[in-house]
Amino acid sequence: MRKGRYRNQIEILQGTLDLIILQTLQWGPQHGYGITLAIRANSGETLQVDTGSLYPALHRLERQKWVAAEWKVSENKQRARVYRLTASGRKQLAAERSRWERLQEAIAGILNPVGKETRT
Amino acid sequence: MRFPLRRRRDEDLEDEIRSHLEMATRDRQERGEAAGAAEQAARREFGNIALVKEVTRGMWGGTRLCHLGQDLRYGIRMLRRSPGFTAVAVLSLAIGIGANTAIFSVVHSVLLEPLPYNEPDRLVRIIQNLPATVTIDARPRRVAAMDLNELLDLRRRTQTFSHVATYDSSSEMTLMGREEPIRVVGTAVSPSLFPALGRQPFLGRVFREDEAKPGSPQTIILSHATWRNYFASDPMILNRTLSLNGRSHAVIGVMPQGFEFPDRQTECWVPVVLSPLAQGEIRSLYPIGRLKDGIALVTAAAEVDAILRGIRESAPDRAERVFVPLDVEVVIIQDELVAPVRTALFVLLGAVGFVLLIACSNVANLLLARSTSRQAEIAVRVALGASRGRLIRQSLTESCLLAILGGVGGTVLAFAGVRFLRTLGPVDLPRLDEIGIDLTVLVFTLVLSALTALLFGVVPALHVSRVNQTEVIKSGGSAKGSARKNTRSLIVIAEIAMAVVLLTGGGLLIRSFLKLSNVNPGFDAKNVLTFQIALPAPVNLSALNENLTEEFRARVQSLPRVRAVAFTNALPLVPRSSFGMPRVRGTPIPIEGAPDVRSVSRNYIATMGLRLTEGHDFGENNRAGQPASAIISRAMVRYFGGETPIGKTITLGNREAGIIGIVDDIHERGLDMEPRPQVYVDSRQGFGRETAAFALNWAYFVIRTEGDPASIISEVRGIVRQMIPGATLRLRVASMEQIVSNSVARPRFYAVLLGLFAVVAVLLATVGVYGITMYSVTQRTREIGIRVAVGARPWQVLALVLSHSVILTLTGVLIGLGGAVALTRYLEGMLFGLTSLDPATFLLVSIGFASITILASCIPARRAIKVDPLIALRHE
Repeated sequence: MRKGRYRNQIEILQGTLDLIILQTLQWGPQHGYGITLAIRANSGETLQVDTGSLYPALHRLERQKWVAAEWKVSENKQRARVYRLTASGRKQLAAERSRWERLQEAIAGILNPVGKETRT
Repeated sequence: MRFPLRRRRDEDLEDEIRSHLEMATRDRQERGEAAGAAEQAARREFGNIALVKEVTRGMWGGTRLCHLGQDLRYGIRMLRRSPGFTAVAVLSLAIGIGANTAIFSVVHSVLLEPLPYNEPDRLVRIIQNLPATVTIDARPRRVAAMDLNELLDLRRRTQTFSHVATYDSSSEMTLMGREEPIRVVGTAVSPSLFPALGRQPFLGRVFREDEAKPGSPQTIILSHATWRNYFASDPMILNRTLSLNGRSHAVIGVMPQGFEFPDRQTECWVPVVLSPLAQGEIRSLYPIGRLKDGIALVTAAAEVDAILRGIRESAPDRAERVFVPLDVEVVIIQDELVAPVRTALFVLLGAVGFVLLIACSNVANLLLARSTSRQAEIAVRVALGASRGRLIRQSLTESCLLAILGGVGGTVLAFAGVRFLRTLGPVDLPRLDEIGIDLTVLVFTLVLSALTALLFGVVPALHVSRVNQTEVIKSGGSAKGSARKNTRSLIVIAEIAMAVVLLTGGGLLIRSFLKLSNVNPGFDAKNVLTFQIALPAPVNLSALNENLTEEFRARVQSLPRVRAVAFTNALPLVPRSSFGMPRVRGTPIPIEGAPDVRSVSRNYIATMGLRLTEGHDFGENNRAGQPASAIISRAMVRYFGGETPIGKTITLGNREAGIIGIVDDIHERGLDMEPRPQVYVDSRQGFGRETAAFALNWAYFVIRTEGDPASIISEVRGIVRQMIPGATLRLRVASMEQIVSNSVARPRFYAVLLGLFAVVAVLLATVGVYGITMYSVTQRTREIGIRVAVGARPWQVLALVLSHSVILTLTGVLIGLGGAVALTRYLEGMLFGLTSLDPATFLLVSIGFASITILASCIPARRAIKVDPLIALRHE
């Protein structure tokens, strides 16, 4: 069932999805549609985040007060709900980043057991 | 109810998603796609909007409550959409739950609630078990009374009891202290009784030791109800003097409300006065003991056993008396009090449990049938993203709604049911007055409703969630669901089996009661009026004489419609202890074989219709001064060692009487008990205190009438008042027939109740079979149409439809019979004239039930025959 797919994606990506969204918002407030475009562009067309994962993630981040949202009207008279990073959100972003880097190191250590010169 | 905040969030989310889609669409349009295509592509890329909304909403928290609210609203809507189904389901549940609540309230008040005494589990009775070899009816008997001398010795020597108190059998007494004399039931108790029970009086004090000595001023303690009803809660009641049976008693106390001893009928207490016993006279009283802390029942029993043995071994007249083997038991009062009804109450509880199970099975089947027709709707919900857990939750919510409705209806039914039980219940049911619905019972109802919801809701819920959506949507919602069909069949078989068990039990009890009712009591109870006379206070015995008694008899006899007037000192089937201890010359009679001695008028035997088989009745010559004569009943003949008793003598107290006749036995104690031997003496010959001269004071008059005995009551009352100003009639029951009927009130009670439950169970089970057959016919309309179209005959269609229900019925009946064989043993003690495996009853039940259910399934079967193949084939 399709629902199962969503569930799994959320579980696997939950930590990284939060990181990606927070990072994207660091460059400025953005609405949901814009965030999907930004993520697609910045990952070189590799990552396409399902709306079924994005919106739940956004609302979850909002509930935890790492992002704040309000309705704004864009240039083309388009009304959209725009998310921005909060102060605690910035702290969370830093924490997620260092967690990600530690994860990277750990995996690199497993993939390249001989010598540490291959660190990026 | 959706809270405003929640609604706004929902709207916001909708807007957000819509704006996302608009932006995506516009981007596509700018890239060159056509308007319509762009929108579709944007939607497709977005994905399942409803699902996204659902999952996002899940992130908000607080969804549990919201889901519950949704489920409730959905459930209510579903129930209102099919009112017929809802009505049947709720009614079945209400009957099941209501019956259980009513019976549980009886069990709770009678068996579970402790007696109104201090630490009632320390209060015990001392029981002697008599084996079948020494009892008169060859059945083991439990004797609660003890010989007075032994009791006094026990009290002196015991180490295990902190109190040993005694009391005598209750008897009716005439109480005067108001304008009119009233008859009350009073009990004589030892002064240590109230301290033993541990309850303080509401007013005044309890008896003192010196008040129990012969010759000391007499005192009386009233019950709260008596004080309230007869003395208008007079605050100055203490030290008022009342007259009880002609003797003055000073009121020294009033017991608190709700206090009863030994049963709810006792309205006052007097001290037991232990006057010295005459030669050979035996007096027995009932002991009640309070165990010391930490003493076990068996320890106390062993001590009593040892003490009694010691007494009997060293008795001075040991050679003359016959002592029965000792088997002493010490039992908690409450256990002994409710022992006669405990089994029966549990049987009733089991029976209503079955009724509830059958009702739940019916509702479960109804739900299963409905879920099959809702498959399409459920499949769509699943496609929209409902999880299995959500579906199960929603289904259970619906079940809970039904259970709540059923529980409310059941509580209402239970109130009516309890009232019905209290009026129908036999007067001697222990603690009958205390039966009512209180908090504990209501909590029980609540828990029961919840359990029933689970019981009938789980299986349909599981089935509902097991839908394969694509298959269902493809076939247009008409998938057969064979797993469902098997479950429904199993449920119906279970219903039938349980109904058969109940029907068998009910049938056994009913047949047993009918047999009991048909027992010939030994006398002619038709058209006999019985009453006693209450003389005005103070009773002037010197004004009474034999001529007065004769005049009264003559005047009543002269009334039209009166055929005969007689009297006796005790009526059959009305409990009354006998006096004296007759001895056949040279042959001691064992205590249990002790006959009742009846002081009767000359024509009593003829009036009551007793059959004189040998010798002759009392004649004119039997009066004071003449040699005393006695008539004995057949059961006494055995004490004469094979010789004819006529002409022999029998010793009553200190006088001898010659036996002049033998009558057939009567069922003196109960229709189901062996007759007790009787000795009839002419009241004119003055045995004991009950002589013809004072008959107006002590006698039960029996008047044989033509037509309704109650019709002469007012005339008799007039005669009484004329002869003795201020006297009234005391009618306990109006006629002998009522007395006989009351004596079988308890078996009647059980038979009616269990019969009622059986009928309800059969109805429910029949509805279940009908339902499943009707449903099967509706489902198979198309198939039947095809068969008819290719030439099937009506009987073949009938066979097709009926075969399934016949198989179900037969299987269910067989299993039910097996269950009945296993379970009816619990009815053993309640049956008369039948065994618990009575073949006739089993046969009747199986044939009867099978016929009913097969008949019930004929109705849908007839419908099947009438199926028009053209219409059926177009049914799709």
